Amino acid sequence: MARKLYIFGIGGTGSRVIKAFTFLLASGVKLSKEFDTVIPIIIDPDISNGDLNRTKTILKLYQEIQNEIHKPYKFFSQKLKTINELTDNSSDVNPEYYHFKLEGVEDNTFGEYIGFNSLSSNFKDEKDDKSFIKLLYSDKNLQSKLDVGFKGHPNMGTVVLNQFTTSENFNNFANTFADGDVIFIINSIFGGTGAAGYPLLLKNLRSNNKDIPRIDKIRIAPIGAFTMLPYFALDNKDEIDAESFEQKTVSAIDYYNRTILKQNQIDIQYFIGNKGNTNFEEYSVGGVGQKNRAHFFELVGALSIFNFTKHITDVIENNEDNEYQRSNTKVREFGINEFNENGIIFQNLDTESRELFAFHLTKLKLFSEYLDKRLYKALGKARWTKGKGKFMQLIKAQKNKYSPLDKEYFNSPEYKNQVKNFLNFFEEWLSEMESNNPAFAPFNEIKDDNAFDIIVGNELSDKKGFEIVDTINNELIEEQDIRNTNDLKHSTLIKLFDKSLDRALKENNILTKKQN
Amino acid sequence: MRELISRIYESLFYNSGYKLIFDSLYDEGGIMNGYNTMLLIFLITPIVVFSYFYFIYKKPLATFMTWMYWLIGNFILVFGITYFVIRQRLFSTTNNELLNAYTDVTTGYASYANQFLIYVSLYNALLSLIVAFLFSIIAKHFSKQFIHLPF
Repeated sequence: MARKLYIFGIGGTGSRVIKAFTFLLASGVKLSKEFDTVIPIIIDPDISNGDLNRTKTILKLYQEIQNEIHKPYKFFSQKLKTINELTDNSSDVNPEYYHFKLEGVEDNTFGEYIGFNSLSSNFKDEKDDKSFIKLLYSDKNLQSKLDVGFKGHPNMGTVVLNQFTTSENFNNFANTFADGDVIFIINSIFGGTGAAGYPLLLKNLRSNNKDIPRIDKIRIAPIGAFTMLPYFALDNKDEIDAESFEQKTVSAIDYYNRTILKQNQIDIQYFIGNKGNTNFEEYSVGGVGQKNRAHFFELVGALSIFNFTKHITDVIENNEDNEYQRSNTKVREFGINEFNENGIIFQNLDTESRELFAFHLTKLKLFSEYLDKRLYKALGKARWTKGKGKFMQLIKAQKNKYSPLDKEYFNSPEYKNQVKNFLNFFEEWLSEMESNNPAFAPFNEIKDDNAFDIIVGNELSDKKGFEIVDTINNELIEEQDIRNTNDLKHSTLIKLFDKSLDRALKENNILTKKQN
Repeated sequence: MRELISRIYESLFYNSGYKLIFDSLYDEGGIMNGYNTMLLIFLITPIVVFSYFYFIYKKPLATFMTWMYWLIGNFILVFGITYFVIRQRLFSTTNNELLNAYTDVTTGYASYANQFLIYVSLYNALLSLIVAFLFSIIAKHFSKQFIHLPF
């Protein structure tokens, strides 16, 4: 049965985990076979948020590249779609469709949003609503502009996000929900948007609200969630006070415990955090300036999605009438085998995690490194880059002899703006994780002639470089499967390197099961 | 057949004043006489060399110049093999008359033989270039790495 996976990423953490998830999908990490489509949905009122816009761009690039590959193997093989594509059955790639926007937040303060000024202050007739509101919200809260989110105040988020489930976007989501589909929610517990949005969204998904289309299917669907506990501090203190993160977490955890976990509202709850960490991010009250460095924990968040879909049958029990029922909430935390002060490497991870993504991530990294450090040498020389010269274009010549991956292709705007651009974001993501705390630094700096020493702690005894990749590329470029592009622009490039790097790593026993 | 093969060389080099050398190349060794041996050298060597180039050599960024270097290498190899094999044939001949002619400086046989060796080796090496080129045109279509070489 083909299932869909809906991923709700709430707030900045939601965006960043979806970004990590997208890179893992691009590298070839796959969900269980029955999941054929992933629908990422980002909920964030801060429309100019740096992290949000970066993730939307990456999602758009992923789709654009995937749309130009004919029957992908592993790289970019998982289908990503927006709700709009499912609803309208269109193939229009628009990054805005990943983002569920909120109404009335762009130009309003919180006070304006709730209509504070129009509330009664008639205390004589016990209709002093204004004073009541002031018990719950400070003047600063009421004057707070909403276009950059809720600035770590979930009490504001709860009110504003409530509109979400009556929105057209949410209706469209519900209308596309089918039997067997599952939901995953990502949030942080110490922010404003994520902390408020998660319990609110979950409450509506598990409700019996007949105004929500297909609620009968949705309320019994498997739902997983990844909640980020505090994992960074800020280098300044103003409207957002990082010192309050842990305090807020304690309050929120207590609330989650009572209303979500003990009520079995969620099937698997994943947590991760870093207590007492001194990892500082640049202070920013949302907007373009909120563009946090990628963190290993966000990668872990992405891994939790794969873990959830793998264990989906654990959360479902069939009753006598063969209708599935949900079992008790399971809570999962992430651990590593050993901590490395120089940065977490693949060897530090548990076997399951390492086997899930290390090989694939290494492949994508090598692909990126090849295009950066070796392509300029190979282009026009290696057989796999030899296109038809002008003279040969005039005469009929063997079609298979000439490669579509010639100088013309690598100078094309599609290659530069899609493939190269996507890989630039990928390198940025890796680099940010490496500079963060705890660092995730599984890759060595490499050159052309020692490319296969790329994995920290797994360097080869003899130097092997990208020459191996060119040799394999030359052999594979004739394969019909790789050449059969259906006129799709990136098909040959992606499938060629997907296969050749796969083979190169396996022939050199890098990250094969033997090594694990 | 032997007559045909000998014409490849004798049409260019035959000198009746040094008949003994050419008779030795024609008569000695049976089916593997001097001329047949030289033919095999210029046929087999480039086939072996360029088989290695097209099917075993793994330098994926090889260019036309790389192919040229291999061609030059083949030339030198065929020259060398021809020179040393035929030199061995000529100066280890069982023909006593020829051996005596080498010893007698006044006949000029030894000097001619040394000069002949260089020219015939060069000639054989040139013939091997033609074979190498023709073989390349065919072999490249079966090669994964160098279907684009020499063009």
